[in-house]
Amino acid sequence: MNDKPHRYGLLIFFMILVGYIALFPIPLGKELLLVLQWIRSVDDPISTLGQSSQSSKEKVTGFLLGKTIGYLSEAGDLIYRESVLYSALVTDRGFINYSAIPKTLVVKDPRGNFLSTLRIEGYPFARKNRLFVLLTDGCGLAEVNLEGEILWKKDFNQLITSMDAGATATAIGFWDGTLLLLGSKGEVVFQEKLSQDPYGVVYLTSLTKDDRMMGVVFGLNPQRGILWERTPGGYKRVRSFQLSSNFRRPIQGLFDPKTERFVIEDAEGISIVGKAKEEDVRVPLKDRIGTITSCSIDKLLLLCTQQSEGRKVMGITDKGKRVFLKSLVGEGPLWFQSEEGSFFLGFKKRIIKYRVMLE
Amino acid sequence: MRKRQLFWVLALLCIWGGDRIAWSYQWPIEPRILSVFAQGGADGFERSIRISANNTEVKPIEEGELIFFCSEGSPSSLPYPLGSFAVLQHGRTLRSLYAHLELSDSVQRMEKTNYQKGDVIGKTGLTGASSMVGLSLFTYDLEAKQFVNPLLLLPPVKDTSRPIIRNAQLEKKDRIIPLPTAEPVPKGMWEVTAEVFDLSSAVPTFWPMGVYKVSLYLNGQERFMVTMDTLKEQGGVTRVSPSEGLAYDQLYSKEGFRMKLGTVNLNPGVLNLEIVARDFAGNEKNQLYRFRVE
Repeated sequence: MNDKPHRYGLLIFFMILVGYIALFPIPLGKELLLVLQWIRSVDDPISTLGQSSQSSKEKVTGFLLGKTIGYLSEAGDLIYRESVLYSALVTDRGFINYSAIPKTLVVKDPRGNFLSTLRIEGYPFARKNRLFVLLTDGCGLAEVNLEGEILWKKDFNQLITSMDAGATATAIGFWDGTLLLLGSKGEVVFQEKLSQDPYGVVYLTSLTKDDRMMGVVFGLNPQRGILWERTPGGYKRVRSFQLSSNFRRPIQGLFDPKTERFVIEDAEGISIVGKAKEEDVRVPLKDRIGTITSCSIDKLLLLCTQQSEGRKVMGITDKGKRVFLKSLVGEGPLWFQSEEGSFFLGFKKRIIKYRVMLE
Repeated sequence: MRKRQLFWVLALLCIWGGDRIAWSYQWPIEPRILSVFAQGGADGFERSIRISANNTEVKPIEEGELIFFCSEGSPSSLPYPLGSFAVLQHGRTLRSLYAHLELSDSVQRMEKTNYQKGDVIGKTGLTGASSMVGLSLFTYDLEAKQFVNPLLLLPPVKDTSRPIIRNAQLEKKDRIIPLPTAEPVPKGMWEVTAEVFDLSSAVPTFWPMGVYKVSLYLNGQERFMVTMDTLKEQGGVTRVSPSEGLAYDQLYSKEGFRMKLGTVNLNPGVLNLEIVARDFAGNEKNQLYRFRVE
């Protein structure tokens, strides 16, 4: 009889212990802190500061939030704002605001001054500081620059389904399961037919910043992936893997710049795939992945996920541990971008800059 | 009497069956065609046919599996001027692409992957680089690696108007002679060009579009012929084939619907130069030019 309270006490202790472990898993070793830098409304008046040539060299950040494009100074002052015609390409050096059927693309600098004109029909986009134009029927691609030059232009006579750029190389995946790697002048440096299967569409193509690693996801039932590494003799397959997904749309993914592992949107979350199988990590997520980006903080990947009631910003460590950062309630356009040690979040007409710190 | 009845039953079966075999593909929407395959496009050949229709349900040309789709503005997608589109695989070789759509929920949520002829892929829309609500339809032969003229696969379209041939001219590096001409033409090599187009009946305004076949005859001998059957990549260049394997710049001038109909060697004498254009419905237009060469 006297033992009973003692036994219950032990049971309660173990329950608390299990609950604690579940709620507070193994710590990162450091605590992740989000430090609010500033908040700005996209409707704020344009700052008259920074109109001089001296401050035109100041670091600025371009944003595209819904139907507004603009530029913010490092201190968060709105230095330029313009309404989007149909869509826009925004880089920190300039932007292209284009109509649905553009005959020419007009390039402007962050203060809205004319820079150049690109005589090409298609929609512009950026990959790792390089600019491209996807030609009208999606079967051709051109590399361009803000100075209005067309560096190369190619017609492939088949639909481009994915692409990525590295330092000088450009990897393109097609709807017939072909992967093409182009050099700096648009010349073919590597080509492989990944699948003879009629369902062998290339859904994701990715390159590391230095062109050293290349990865793809292709096919259906099952969806598969391949990693290549550049060697003195050319690109060599280093890994083939299978995924649990069966997406029939473009898949999100990138190479983690720190660990050089391939981060892929999977059916149940995120798959992080390395050259060796032992490096693989699976991160289960219930929400649909909106944007994946890397953050230059201690091997942290940033994700923006979307569920019915809103969005979440979360981090994933190289070990696959999830770190909740921010919840955004409601719907509406979102702009999400990370840079050295911080990220920008644009939502509901406000732009917020956070510094991410591990202490 | 019985033999006669049997003959008519068999004949009707043949007509009914033959029709089903020949036209196993269906139009995704009512064919009010605005532009045709391999006509001069924004930056090269048009690889699709453009059909005009307001807020109309789009159905597959044949039963097929959804293998790729893209929603306009999706963060994972490239910025396609095709807007929102879906790609279906039919058997092992044929693929169809439906562009500028408002995609159906069943496509966007991947609720189903196999689409029957009666299923809806989406509605005609104005997504991407589209100036008029409608649909762009592409068909691709995966085995031959070429885009195929969708009009070769789909049931015939009613069309009674003949193509138009106008402003034909003989061109040399430093000289242009408009045809017809009463003046004698200097002998030698001349390039023949002409504006060749068909008029769309889909819109009440003047709406030129491409033709299916163009030929050039010199004194009754065929010197040039092109049919818009397929578009294939040969040596890094997209060419209209199988006729001549002509690249875009070899077939079209930058100016409107002006076509380059080949180079002919004109010898002294009276010559007959004839341009013949045919649309896909079989309506033909002949234009004969008679002139003296010295």
